[in-house]
Amino acid sequence: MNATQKFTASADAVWALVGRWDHFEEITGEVVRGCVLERRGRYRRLYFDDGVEIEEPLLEFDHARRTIAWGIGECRNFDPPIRPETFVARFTVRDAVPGKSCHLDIEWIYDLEPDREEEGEELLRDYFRICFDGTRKALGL
Amino acid sequence: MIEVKMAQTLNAAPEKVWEVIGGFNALPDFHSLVKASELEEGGSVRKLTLTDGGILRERLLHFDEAKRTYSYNIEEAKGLTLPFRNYRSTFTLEGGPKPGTCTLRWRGTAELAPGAKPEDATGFIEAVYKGGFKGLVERFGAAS
Repeated sequence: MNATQKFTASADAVWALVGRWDHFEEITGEVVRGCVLERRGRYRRLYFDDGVEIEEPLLEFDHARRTIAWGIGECRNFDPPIRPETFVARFTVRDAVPGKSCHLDIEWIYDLEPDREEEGEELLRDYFRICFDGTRKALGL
Repeated sequence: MIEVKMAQTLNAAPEKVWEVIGGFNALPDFHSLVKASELEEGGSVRKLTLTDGGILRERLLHFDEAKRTYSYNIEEAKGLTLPFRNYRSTFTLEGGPKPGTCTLRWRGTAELAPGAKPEDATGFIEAVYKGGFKGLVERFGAAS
């Protein structure tokens, strides 16, 4: 599942925000209450309401290509409709007009739990909105 | 341009060693020359405090968990004079020659700083890599 939005901000400015591995709540503050790095930076733990915690391993990072990808590890107090071992999230920032505007590409790669496809797809579509809206808000746009 | 390539084979499976060395903030856990490490800029920069008091600030350029590799450069050095500039390094862990072993490959490239001799630059980088290997050999043992 992919989505792209254009931002009237430089790619460097958007990358400086979405490329921050340890401050995911800056762009997902609507749902993520806290973010802490673990295992010397290889993992982060996200905290949500109702005691929900999700551990995410960093899978890829490329500063020059402005791309970051992560997976899902352990989930506490949450039974995801997505099969965690299949999930990859990837954010990439591309120049539109260099220095002035850019595109943020968000990609979710996943398999859903049987009989929970509708729930999973709705969750992921909503997460696009949360991330794009949160990025826009964090940039002051 | 100077280049340093070194490798150390360890007596442990790659996934076990990567668990120790794969985090960008992990150097103090095994590197004999690094006293402390602190992440900045969202985890993409590490500020290293060396045992001699020097400070290095290094930026993560590339990371690939599946390939067990990462690359970084040096953005700033304080309290020490580096005999090189535009340094870039890649740190890769591969399966070793026998089951239950792995090989850590460390490669660095740089340009000589004005007035520096090549052997000063390569010697500096080699000492850094050897410091890392030393800690890992102590922990996991060397394998041939």
